[in-house]
Amino acid sequence: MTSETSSSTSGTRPLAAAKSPAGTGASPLVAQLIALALVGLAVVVVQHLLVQLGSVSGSSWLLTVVDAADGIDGRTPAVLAAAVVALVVAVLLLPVALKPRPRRTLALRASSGVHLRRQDLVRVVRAAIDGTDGVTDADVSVGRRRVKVVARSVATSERESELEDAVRARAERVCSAVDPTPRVDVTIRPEKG
Amino acid sequence: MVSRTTLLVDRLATLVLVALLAAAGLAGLWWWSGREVSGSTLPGTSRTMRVADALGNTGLAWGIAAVAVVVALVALRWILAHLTRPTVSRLRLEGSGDAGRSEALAGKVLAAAADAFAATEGVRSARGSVVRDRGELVARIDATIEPEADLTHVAQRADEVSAQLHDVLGRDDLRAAVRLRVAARGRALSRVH
Repeated sequence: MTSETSSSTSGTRPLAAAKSPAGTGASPLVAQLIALALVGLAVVVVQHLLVQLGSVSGSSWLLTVVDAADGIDGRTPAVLAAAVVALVVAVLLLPVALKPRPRRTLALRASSGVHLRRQDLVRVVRAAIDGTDGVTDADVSVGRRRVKVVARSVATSERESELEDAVRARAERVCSAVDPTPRVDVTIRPEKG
Repeated sequence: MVSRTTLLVDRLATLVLVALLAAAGLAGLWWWSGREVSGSTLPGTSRTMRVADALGNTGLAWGIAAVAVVVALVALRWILAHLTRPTVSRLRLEGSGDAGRSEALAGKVLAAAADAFAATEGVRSARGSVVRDRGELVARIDATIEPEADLTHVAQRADEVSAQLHDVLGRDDLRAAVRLRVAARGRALSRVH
């Protein structure tokens, strides 16, 4: 493999890009919790069998629960609360099962499937802006198609538009590497005091 | 990363849970309200004596314990499916035919590619691997870059390394994925932009 000092050989094309990175969503977490609960349930059932056979002393956990569930009056607020909770949890879990895999990365302008996360782009833009004359601090946020920069400066208001242009130029230079290129919004806020 | 089959099973399991919770919630509401639905009402207080009596039968206890153990084993296997990484260790090179199979240790080739990529200005470190992701064979490079790195240059280098990989491995079905993370704090680069 060659390092960057030699030029690329024979005009071979880069490999095509893989499918862009996708998260899994929350369903694996829910599913693994269900799996753990099933294992727990199996333990309870086996313990019941062992108690029945006399191999294990003590009382069956399963029977304890079944007996505790006997004679509950349906008209109590506790039953209503439990029913409502069950319905609410069902409604909350439904999107987990149905939502498509989340895509949280941005693609760079390249053939080979280069991606980075939003928080990574924030760091690069912020590093590009830091050190601009007159900027004391910069707050960068990356949205769907937009990068928003709020820079604090000690510059006078006459120099503000000059500073805004300088900051925008640096941010846009970074963002030009992203595909599709996000729009850059720059606001300069004067440093108080 | 979870395979697509496992993810599908996860989503189905979540849906089953949603259905069960919804049914339980609705049944609870029906019980609490004491209303008549299609000519029947639920008893005012729960009676689980029958269940408790049935569980006293040793034969039934054996039966449900056997089912429970099978379910628990499947559940454990299912949890394991989330923990394995779909890496590919051997990769057939182009041109391996009658003369015998020349297999590349995919890991080594990708490690060399990652080293070449890591030599790029602005890239702090890189690791390479070949994985199966959503039905594709992917040459994946995970790299950490400096916040001051030039994204355009890094993307260009990614394409160069990808082209070299294409050349060396000669497989057109291989896809490339380069995942960049930006370090929180930069180290000084040799060149100032």
